[in-house]
Amino acid sequence: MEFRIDFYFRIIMDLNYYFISFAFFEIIYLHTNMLGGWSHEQAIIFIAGNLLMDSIVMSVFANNMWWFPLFVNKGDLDHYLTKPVSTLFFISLRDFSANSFVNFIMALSVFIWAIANYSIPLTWWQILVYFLLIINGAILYYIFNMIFYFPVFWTGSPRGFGNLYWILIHSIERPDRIYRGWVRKLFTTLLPFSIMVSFPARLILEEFSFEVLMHILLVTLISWPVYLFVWSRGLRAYSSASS
Amino acid sequence: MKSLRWPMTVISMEVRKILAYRSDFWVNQVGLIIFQVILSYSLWFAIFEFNGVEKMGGYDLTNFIHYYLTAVLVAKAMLGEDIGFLSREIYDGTLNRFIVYPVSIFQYKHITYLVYSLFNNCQLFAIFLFNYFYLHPTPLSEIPWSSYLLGVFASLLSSSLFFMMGCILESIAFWADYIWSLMVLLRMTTNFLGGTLIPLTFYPEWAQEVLKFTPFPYIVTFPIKVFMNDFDSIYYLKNCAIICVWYFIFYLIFRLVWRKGQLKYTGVGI
Repeated sequence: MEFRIDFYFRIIMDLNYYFISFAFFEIIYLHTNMLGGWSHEQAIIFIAGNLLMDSIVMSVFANNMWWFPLFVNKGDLDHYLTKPVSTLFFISLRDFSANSFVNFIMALSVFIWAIANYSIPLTWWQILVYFLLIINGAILYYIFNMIFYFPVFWTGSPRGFGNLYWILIHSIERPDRIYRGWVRKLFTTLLPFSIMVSFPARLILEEFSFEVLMHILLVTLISWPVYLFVWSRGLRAYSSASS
Repeated sequence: MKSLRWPMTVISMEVRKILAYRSDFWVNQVGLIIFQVILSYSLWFAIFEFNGVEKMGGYDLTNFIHYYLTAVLVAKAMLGEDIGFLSREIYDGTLNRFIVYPVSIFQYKHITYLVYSLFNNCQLFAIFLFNYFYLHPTPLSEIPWSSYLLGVFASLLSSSLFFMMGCILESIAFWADYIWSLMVLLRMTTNFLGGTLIPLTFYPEWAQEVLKFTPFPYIVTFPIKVFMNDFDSIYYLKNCAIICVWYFIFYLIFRLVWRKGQLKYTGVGI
């Protein structure tokens, strides 16, 4: 609560994001009955899942990821490299965002409300699987956001390819079935944004598919070593002095 | 001529800053344009396909590509410089240096902001040229040059309005410890209510009527319509006039906030 005004501003900002997310789909569903194979009420569960994942990312990772490229750009990473803990662990989790945690509670409430209002009753294990896969989605979000920031080791710029990530991340907010051809392949493999929320939503909104579950787990398992590999290569390129 | 020297110096300095990290710049710029259009196209393609129609709200899929391509660049032009263009000076205590500058901070920041806007308009021009010479004929290549030039002017005008709104929020830095979230809030709201995410013609009638009394459609939809050659001279002049009125209103608010804020300024940073 050191920066109280900012604390409240951020809550308002996140609420605005939630409102826009729902309003966007409300407008879309004024012009169609189905989107990516989902009805309006199914889309609400999907949006609620997306907001929940976003609030987890904002609470746990977002602040830390924001500072990372600046640490590299200014040479401040040295300070963390000398600590007797894993540098990556430390810079990724050192700052917990309390205001976003307030939003996490709100997102969780929206999530519960969406599930409670769904016309087809869901079993507890379906909800649990969805929730766990959303947490998995949040981890994937973090991994790929960092991978987009890692180029700062080579370019020395203050933001890396972070701005591009902010555009790509909008693909999470849409059902995966709207993507076709190579775009679909891209968003389900190399840049697995559709895996983060849309695939988990499919598991509870449609007939349970073991193949979809395996796809999510496989992509997560492959992403982790790739992330560590790029980090280690980046560290080798790190020049320490301010860029 | 002497009075033009300082803006030219500022422009050249800012362009060098924009291009300082070239690989970042090109990856972010090109990627942003391509993916933004792909995401929007995918969404509308799915809607068109499900409904079995070829046109909705006056747009077919080609119009949608054109719309979103223009929307991305208009929105980028509107956003201008990064968040913190004014508040950073307040937090760092570097407002002091403007005491010795030969121009006011407002003029200086306005010029730098418009440099970013103009730069993004140049990108639209590059796409326009590429399309005109290599992909002819497409709806984009049928747009007359006059529309493009009027579009650039409309875009700079709307960027100035957004800059003014941003200035008010950035000035809150005199009192608040961090205003980043307020600026993000303004950006999100403008994108949504301005028509960057969905063309405003898809909004319910009542919402369209209400939005006319806000500055948002004039910031985004107006320049897009001009770039798409979907306007007449009365519409153009009317919208320019409305932007000027909004600009003046926000300028007065900004002056008030800035004067009050200066009394709180310590000059040592926080």
